[in-house]
Amino acid sequence: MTRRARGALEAEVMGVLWTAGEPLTPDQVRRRLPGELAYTTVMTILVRLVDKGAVSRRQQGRGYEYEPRLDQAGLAAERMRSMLEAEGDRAGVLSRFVEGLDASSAAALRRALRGRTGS
Amino acid sequence: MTAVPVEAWVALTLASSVVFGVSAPAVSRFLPPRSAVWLLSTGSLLLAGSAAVVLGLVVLSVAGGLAPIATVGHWSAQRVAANEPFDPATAVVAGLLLAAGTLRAGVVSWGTLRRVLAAWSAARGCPGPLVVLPDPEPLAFAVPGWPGRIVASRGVLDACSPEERLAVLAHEQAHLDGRHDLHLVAVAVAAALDPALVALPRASRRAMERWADERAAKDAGDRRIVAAAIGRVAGADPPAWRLLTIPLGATDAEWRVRALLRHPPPRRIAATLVLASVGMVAAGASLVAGHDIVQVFEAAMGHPVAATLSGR
Repeated sequence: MTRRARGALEAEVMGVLWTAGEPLTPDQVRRRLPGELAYTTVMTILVRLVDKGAVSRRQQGRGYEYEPRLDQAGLAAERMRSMLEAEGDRAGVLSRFVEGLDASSAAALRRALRGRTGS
Repeated sequence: MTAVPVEAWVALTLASSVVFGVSAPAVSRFLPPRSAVWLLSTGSLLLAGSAAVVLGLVVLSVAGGLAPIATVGHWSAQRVAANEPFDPATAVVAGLLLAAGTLRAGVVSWGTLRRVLAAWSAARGCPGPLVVLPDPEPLAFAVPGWPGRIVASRGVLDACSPEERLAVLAHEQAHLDGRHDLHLVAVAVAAALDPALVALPRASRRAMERWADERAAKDAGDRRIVAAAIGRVAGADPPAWRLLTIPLGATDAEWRVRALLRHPPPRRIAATLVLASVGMVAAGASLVAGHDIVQVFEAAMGHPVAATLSGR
């Protein structure tokens, strides 16, 4: 059903760990991801994220539980924020998912979506 | 020398720039987004380059008729001036246009390069592919680099369903995988060099968003999920630093949603070829113009064969 780029899958696993609010086992991560992913695929990605320093793990029973490394995440967020504040991105180097809309256009957009996707 | 005068080739090159600059933004809306992005960046480089070359040729051919320059170049100022197709006033205008364009391209290149380097450096210092900002507003964007990073706020992660989250992350990953930062730089520099291409950066940005949407739709397996994610993120109050960005505006978000609620875009080979051929015409015409001007100089250098062949 889904066909993902490798980088997107890594980001997605991190997204799952961030929204969970608690440490997760590889199987819990797998079940929270859309689509049918193999356990080994999820495991490989978690190990890679631990190696990169983005995720930490701790022994839990016979296996491991994983969570985002908040120390690293805080530093990364500060780095990005100071870059954004210094550069402002007037040249549009960064591509935001949706650029700022005024409130009425956004409301119109959402109404259109409700009409078309609700069916 | 060709039967068509050199002025015609110069005019054709400059006219191609105007034709491309006016038509490409409109035509690119109907092309598959990936082709549109590539056509806009390669086309704009080709056209801006060709325009700069012919303006340079006009300046060079008139300057070559001036005695001090002819002495340095070891050709006859009289013979260049006798074959000279452009008058001094044209050369002055061409020279001013070229100088202004080069200056602007330099400033834009420097500014863009600085921002790209800052993004690359910020991306390098972050572990993992996803950086999460603790902001409640739904925000998501790609920070280019080697490798690039996706930045998303707590707001977007918490507001989206797992499928929508996949779509947002796949969209940003598509910007990184497609090296959209390099396309942006190419079009920005070309547009700074050639004022006829002023509308292309925005058209390119729009095509990039569509490219990323199509990639996300493929990853999510359902086009409507991407459309819903756009609706979810749209309309959030931008944080203060966002006031500095170039907003794409409501029409673009609506256009993206409408495109996603339709079928995937068809290939449109004819339109792609027509647009690509405008770039080819400009490049070809500038080469012929260059060849003609070089022949004028060769003749003035007193090579008997070249002088006979040029026939002027």
